[in-house]
Amino acid sequence: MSSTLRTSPTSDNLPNLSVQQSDTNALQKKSFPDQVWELLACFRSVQLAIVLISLLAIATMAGVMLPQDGLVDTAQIKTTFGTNYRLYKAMGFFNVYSSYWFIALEVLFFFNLLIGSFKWLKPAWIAATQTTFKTQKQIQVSGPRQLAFNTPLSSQSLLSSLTSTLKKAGYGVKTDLSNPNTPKLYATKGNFSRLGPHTAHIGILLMLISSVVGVFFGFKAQELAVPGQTFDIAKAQMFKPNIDQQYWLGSTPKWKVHVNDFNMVYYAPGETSMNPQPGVPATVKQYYADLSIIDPKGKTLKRETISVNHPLSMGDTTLYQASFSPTGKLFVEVGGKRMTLQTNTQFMGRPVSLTELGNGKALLAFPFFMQQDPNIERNQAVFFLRDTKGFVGAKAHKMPPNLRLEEGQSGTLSGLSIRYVKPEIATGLQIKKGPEVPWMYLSYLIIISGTIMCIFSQRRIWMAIVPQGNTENSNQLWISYLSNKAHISFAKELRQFEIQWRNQNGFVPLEQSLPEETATV
Amino acid sequence: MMTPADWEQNFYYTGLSLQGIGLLFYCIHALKPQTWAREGGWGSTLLAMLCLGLSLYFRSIHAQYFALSNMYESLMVVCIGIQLAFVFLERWFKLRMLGLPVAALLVGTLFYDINLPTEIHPLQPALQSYWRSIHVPIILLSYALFTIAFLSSVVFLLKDAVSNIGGSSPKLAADGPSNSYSDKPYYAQSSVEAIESSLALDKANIYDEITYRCVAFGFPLLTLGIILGGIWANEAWGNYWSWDPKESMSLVTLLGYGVYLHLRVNGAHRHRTLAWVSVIGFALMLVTYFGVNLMGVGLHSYGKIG
Repeated sequence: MSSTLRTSPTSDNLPNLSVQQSDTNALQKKSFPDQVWELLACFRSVQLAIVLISLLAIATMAGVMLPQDGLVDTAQIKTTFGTNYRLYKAMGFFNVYSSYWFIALEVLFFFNLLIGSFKWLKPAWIAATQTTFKTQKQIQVSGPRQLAFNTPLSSQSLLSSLTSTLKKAGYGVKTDLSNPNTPKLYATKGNFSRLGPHTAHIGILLMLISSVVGVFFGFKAQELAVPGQTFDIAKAQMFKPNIDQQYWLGSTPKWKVHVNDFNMVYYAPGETSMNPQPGVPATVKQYYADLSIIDPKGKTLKRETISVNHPLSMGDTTLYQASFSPTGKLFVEVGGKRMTLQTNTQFMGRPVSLTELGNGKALLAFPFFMQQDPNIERNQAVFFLRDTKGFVGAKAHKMPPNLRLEEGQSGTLSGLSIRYVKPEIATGLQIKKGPEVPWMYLSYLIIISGTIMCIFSQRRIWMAIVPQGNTENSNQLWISYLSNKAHISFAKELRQFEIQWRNQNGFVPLEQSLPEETATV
Repeated sequence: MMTPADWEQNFYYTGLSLQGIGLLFYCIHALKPQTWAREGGWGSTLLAMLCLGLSLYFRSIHAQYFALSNMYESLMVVCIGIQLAFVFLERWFKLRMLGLPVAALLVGTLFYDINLPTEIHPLQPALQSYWRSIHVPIILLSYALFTIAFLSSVVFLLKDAVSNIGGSSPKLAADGPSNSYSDKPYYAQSSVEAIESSLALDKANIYDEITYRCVAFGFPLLTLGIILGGIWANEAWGNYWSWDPKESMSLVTLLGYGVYLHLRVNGAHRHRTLAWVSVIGFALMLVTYFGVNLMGVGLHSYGKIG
């Protein structure tokens, strides 16, 4: 393999010793910030970026492969790793993403990105914005990436024709007419692509900074609340700042949340092509919680019905419909009288409600919830009636008389009318304060813009027109070209240009020997 | 009267058959290069893509939502993505060797796909969002591009094994269309023939270029898909990122291809090395797409196989 390389009497050819000497002198003369910058040199290399990205990938994968606390039961992890459990735990293997070494990697990555961006942004900006012209000689020493033609056009006609062709192809064209006899042209397109990587890097930095803001100012909370309940977020069941309370800089909202209602809606038969089959529980279509935001004076600031994927936002705090849970209360009508039964005991491991009705009688209710019991299609409860002698109407070796009701159904048990209204179900709300959200979304936009910019290539074409002899209509056209990507597409485009120039403008390729300044290696 | 379910099935099998015919054409082309065979393979792949698209359309009508909620449907979308990327690349770059592996992979994948559970289930609340119709197809399209990148890398490595073309680095290639492979100074010719000859020389290396193009397009798509997934998660649960196995592995895949792109920019590495990194990236993508689903845990467990 060979390629042509330019040799020139530049500092590239100086002996190493001289270079080192000059570097040492330069370092001694450098200001303090420059010296710090030199010390940080190791942080700004692409090689380090490659190493860090690879290490982050390996570490992240370790978190997927190793059982992580929260995803896998701790007892199971202990059993699997036996005596090594403590060691591995101390090394953060079961909490990879919050381990000191993973965070250290992230911090290193951050600095690599930060310092690297500072280093490379300026050269990229110059490459994207600078206009340069090349003379015929400069083109001649451009190595293999050049074309040369004899043209039968005057320099003005030639310039006009070339400009027109290049502009039609989407190039920005600039001309240098400082020497009217040897006009020069610089055409370029896709300049913005040079800034793509840096844009993406800046986006990542903003994302990391935003997440730090979220850590110091944000919180998360969870609350199981039943309809009619009002709660203070700061006193929610699982209120937790994103960082230890002593370092936390955020605040909690002064308003409270009131749950007006909570409903679960199921897919009805025929609503979808997948009708619920007999014996298969109905599928929940959506959970709806009707919430009000109440200010300290009791005034309703906002009221919305939230569902999964449709949260309620109040400033930088958002309430999400996350889960639900039966509270153990059952709403019933016994003998036409509304009652609330509370599960207060257990029978064979199942929660049971035992409620005195007076006259020595008691109502026993076994609730069954469709989300917990795959064998039922609707929430049900089975009722038994007891008196001082035992189950009312019970016969030896036979199941005592009972009444199985779905929610909304009525029936009679030993002469007692019972209606099972519904079980009480609490909505599980996830609450989050995220002051970083707007910045996070902005960082996403910047990252996406940057990565999309990277798809494109920067194409640059330099042209120099050289008059031949004394005839005005005889000029040589020298072309040098460069693309940072998409070389084949660029070559195809150049081919189209050349075909056009040869067929329409009568260009004739120029045969040349290699200039003396070039050497083949 | 044919129902949407019948149309769905008919179009799927027609698509599979057409892809099989495409494979046949490419086999003939591999044995004896003929333009008609290559064109036949390309046309069959194009028609197969249209049939699979129609199959997905009728499935969506049947399901009453955009049918992209299980492995069967997502694999079908990946196949459509591969076909779409391939028919475009084949037309643009006149690829001679990529048709056979692409067609073979598609036929195998479509056969595998039909054996996956195809029942349609009602959408659970978390999946009832317009984000599902944006986040998932974008991710799957990136997977399709990475698959083409992988096949292209394999072809490149095979060609490299035969003719040792992978020893140079892209930094040299960046100087011009073909100078890193040419023994003849491009300068000295200065004509259409020179550019034609440079293209001919690049054909030895075109599969490296295809790999790069696919990764260069797939990477922003995967980035976009992950970010949109994060926004969706924040809308649904109040968490951009939960270190769920699927999320973590998709980050690993992104980082893997990030390494590829940085190595490419760095330019000090050989084409052969880059091809191997692309192969590793594809392996990571497979773990993300299939492997994590086998675990059946985390927020993406609805994507599990079976």
